[in-house]
Amino acid sequence: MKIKMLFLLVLITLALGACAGYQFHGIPYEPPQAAPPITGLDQNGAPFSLDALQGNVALVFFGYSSCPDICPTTLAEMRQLRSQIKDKADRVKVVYVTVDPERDTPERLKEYLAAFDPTFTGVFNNSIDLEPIKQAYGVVAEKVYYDAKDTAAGYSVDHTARTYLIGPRGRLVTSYPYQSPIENIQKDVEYLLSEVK
Amino acid sequence: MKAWIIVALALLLAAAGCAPLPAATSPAAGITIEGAFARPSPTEGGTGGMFMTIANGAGVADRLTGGSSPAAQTVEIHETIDDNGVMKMRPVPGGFEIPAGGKLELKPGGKHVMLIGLTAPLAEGQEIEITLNFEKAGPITIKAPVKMMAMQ
Repeated sequence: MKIKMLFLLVLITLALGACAGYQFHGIPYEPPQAAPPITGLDQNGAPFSLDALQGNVALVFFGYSSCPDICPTTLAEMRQLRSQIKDKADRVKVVYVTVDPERDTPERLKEYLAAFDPTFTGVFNNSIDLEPIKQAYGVVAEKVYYDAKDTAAGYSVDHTARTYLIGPRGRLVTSYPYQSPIENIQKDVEYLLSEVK
Repeated sequence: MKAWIIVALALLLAAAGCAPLPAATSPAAGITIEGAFARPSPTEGGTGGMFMTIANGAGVADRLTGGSSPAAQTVEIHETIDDNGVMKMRPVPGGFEIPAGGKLELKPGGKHVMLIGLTAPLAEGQEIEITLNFEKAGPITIKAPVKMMAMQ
């Protein structure tokens, strides 16, 4: 009797698992929501809008180009991801939104991103236009001034180090914490790409 | 008498063993630096991060206190702390201890060496020289490649 019950439970669990469909990694949005708009200037000084990327998969990261540790790590991972996806890489758009309008400029973003992958898009906004984008994505970015006796670095920006995944229909699907396994992100990206040809 | 000779020979051997040392090792204090690399940083005057593993083979703790490099105006020791998904980078003016017989890992998203005021952009494939200062072992100069990922 007990064994039968157990068997039934296992079956139910399996059936439920099958119903759930594809499970995105990171912290998925349940249900996925329309990605909040991101506009600004790209690294060539041309107007940018996230809407224009529909039909592609977008990976959005908020950083700044004086960031020596977290941002290069994430950008290097994004580059690796695109190289692993190979033939579909042109449909994977990496969007890097600067949260340091004081030190960054479109030109500086261009210089910075070219060192990683020239196909990455940098997005620049002044601090007033940046605020609603940060809020919509739940991004924290606070300037922290150092004590001059401790460092020559001036200030750094405490910032949210999540990467946001936006599907081909402009839906915000999930977000990944810093240094999530690239393989997991790749699976999610490939799933979304296969959904919309 | 014989014991004397053996001790003398052993000392000689030990001294000989110390002579042809790899650049990254300080024989006196047993500090060894492995896997050092710097991240690309395209902006002159900008900042760059450096990562490595420092092993302390000596019987006493040592401390990485700072350094200098022709690649940057200032070299500092910093740490990134993950505060609930928000990355906070802070200077650590006192540096980090390397326990006796232990290791100090400087890796992305954690403790690192900061190059501030780059004298030239750091491009992938380059090599930079840096002198790291240790409280007991003194200065150790190493060369490190500029690359994207640690495992490449």
